[in-house]
Amino acid sequence: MATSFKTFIQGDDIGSTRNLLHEAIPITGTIVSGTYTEGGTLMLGKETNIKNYSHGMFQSVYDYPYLSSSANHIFDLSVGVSANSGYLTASSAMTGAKSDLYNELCQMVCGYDITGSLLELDVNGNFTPRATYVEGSTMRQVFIVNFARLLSKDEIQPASGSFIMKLGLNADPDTAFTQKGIIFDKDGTVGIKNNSPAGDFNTLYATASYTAAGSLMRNTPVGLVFYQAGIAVITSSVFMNDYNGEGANAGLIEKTSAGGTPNIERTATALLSQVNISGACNALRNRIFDIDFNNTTELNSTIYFCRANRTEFNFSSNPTYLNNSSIRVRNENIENPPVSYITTVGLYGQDNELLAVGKLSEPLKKTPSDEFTLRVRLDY
Amino acid sequence: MGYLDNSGDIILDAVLTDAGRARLAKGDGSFRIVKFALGDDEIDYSLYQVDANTGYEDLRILKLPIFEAFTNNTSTLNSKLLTYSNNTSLLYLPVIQGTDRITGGDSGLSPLNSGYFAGVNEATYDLMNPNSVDPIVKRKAGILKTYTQGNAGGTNILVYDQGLDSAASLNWLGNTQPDLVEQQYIVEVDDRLLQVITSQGGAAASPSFVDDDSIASYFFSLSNTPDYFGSQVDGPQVSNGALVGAYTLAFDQNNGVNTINTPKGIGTSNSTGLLGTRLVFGLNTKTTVAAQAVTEGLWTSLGKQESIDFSSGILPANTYAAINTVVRITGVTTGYRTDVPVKVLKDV
Repeated sequence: MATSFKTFIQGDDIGSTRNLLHEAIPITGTIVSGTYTEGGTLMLGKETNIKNYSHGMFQSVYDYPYLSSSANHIFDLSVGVSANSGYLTASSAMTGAKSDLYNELCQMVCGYDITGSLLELDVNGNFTPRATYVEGSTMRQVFIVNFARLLSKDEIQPASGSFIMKLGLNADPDTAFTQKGIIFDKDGTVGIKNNSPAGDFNTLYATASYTAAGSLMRNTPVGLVFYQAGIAVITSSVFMNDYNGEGANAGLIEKTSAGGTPNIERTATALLSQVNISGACNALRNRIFDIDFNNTTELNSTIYFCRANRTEFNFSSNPTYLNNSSIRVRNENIENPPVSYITTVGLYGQDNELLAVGKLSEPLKKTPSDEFTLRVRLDY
Repeated sequence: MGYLDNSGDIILDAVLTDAGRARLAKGDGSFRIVKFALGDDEIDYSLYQVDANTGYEDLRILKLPIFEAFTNNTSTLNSKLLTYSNNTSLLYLPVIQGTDRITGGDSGLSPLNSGYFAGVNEATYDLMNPNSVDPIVKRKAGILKTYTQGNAGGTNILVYDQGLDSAASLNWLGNTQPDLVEQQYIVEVDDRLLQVITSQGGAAASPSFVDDDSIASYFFSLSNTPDYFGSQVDGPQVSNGALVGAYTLAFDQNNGVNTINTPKGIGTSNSTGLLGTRLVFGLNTKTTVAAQAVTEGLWTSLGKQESIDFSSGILPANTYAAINTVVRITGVTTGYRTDVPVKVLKDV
């Protein structure tokens, strides 16, 4: 009796594992702003890899001009300003939108207190009701960096030093990167916080990359990173000199025009109040030196052990295996052992339907003198 | 698909097939892997040099590059490795061969081995089958009358014999090696074009399943579907779904014009070969494809127009809309597979 299928023994031949796969994601600042310019001249806000929407609520960053099918969406930028911050006035730009975005973010990542009131962002993770503003802790003017699933996959890896975002902090925007602030996940898995409805998160700290006498930023908390949500929230204060210790506030420009004079430089506080959301996003992009993090993909695998014992799979139904009915490799000589070559492993359902297939990189010779166990892993 | 890098350690590249993904998507628990098979699709065993020095017999085979995995479930594992219980003594394995030998003036194998022609309607069949041409010539051309549902009895029948195609004295394979006698077959056809019917009476068979590529698989076993097994000259007879070792009846078909004996397809001569079972089935073309105009539907998406002469030069060639397809016959027990090319035709 000839057989071509061998049934797996449940438990012995089939097992499952779970692994976390990490990829390093480097995003250089030149992609975020400067590379895909029209006519070779930087026109902030007009880059072809930046998509602005008519609603103006956020801005999408692509790794290539977004009209191309080769472009990948890498992250979105937006801003949120609490209605309680005092920075939103009747004359502010997009007051309602900025407030709505702040509230939406809080709703997603901070949650509510026992009275059903929305909690506000806090740089230490102690989300507090609106009435409980804590100076230097509560964040009411924030930049939102929302990474695409393509990059963050299942989560941003919670590991010390995994998430790093470098910002140019020099007052003059033309030489912004001569003085950089490094925003990073200092603690990683240590002290990880889980009081957010969006999953685990931790504080982002900033430190200065230079030794200017006036620099105060030494592991200063400046934001939060939500690992599973793939969101980084940065306080606008990071650009303010009374916070980062620079000699002057960073001058943020929301757009430029070819050959023209750059628009007015604003402080971060003024920017988030007076400029529309896409302009504020432009200003932030212009100050991003790079972003690096590791993502995480959770691989759930089933492993099938395909065991070919000594007496199994030594013959073939390959059309070239027979010359008329004679087995070529034996040449009608009983002394020549039957030989077959394994190139493919097929995994089948009950009704013999091929559900998965594995290919060996080179033929594997099988004779009655050999036994093999082929380990086939399917990842989900 | 590329080739797999074979410069270093042996790696295994595994993917779900389209059928596997479809079952996962159903979410009904039908994605359940319970068994495996090994295949050697890329291997050409004719490269094996039996007389070479030890270790050098298969140098050319081992150098063959291996393709990346195909995700189409019907495109891979076409030839499987087999396990035989009598592992070391086997020097021969059974094959499945067409039996369309023509007697009455032509004793050689007919060109049917290179395929069949199936007319989808009467007008097409008449064009393929002119009265002025010798019926043997037409039969050699492989013309099948496949347009009438339920029609059978010689004009649309395929007969395939199984056994050891050797020079051993004529005998029934079951006498000496019963485990090599194939008692179950799978016939695969393109469900959009063809349908399998019984050889006597033309009752339509029900496919076991039709996959996402419209390939219908029909499963025939001697015990459950004996109508698809035939007796044969000098071979085993079928009686009530079982093989009996009588050697008396011939499986003859009369096409109404010329008696076509279908003696055994196994063996190097009339007096040699170890005969196994005989699979007999009819083919009908689907009425849906027959109803489509030649300028639309499957005739344009799968086919093209060709000029074909079925009269060996006696008459001018005619133009037909043609779709090439393959009928695949696989022995479930022995794993042996044979592909039968069929060209589905409609007159233009």
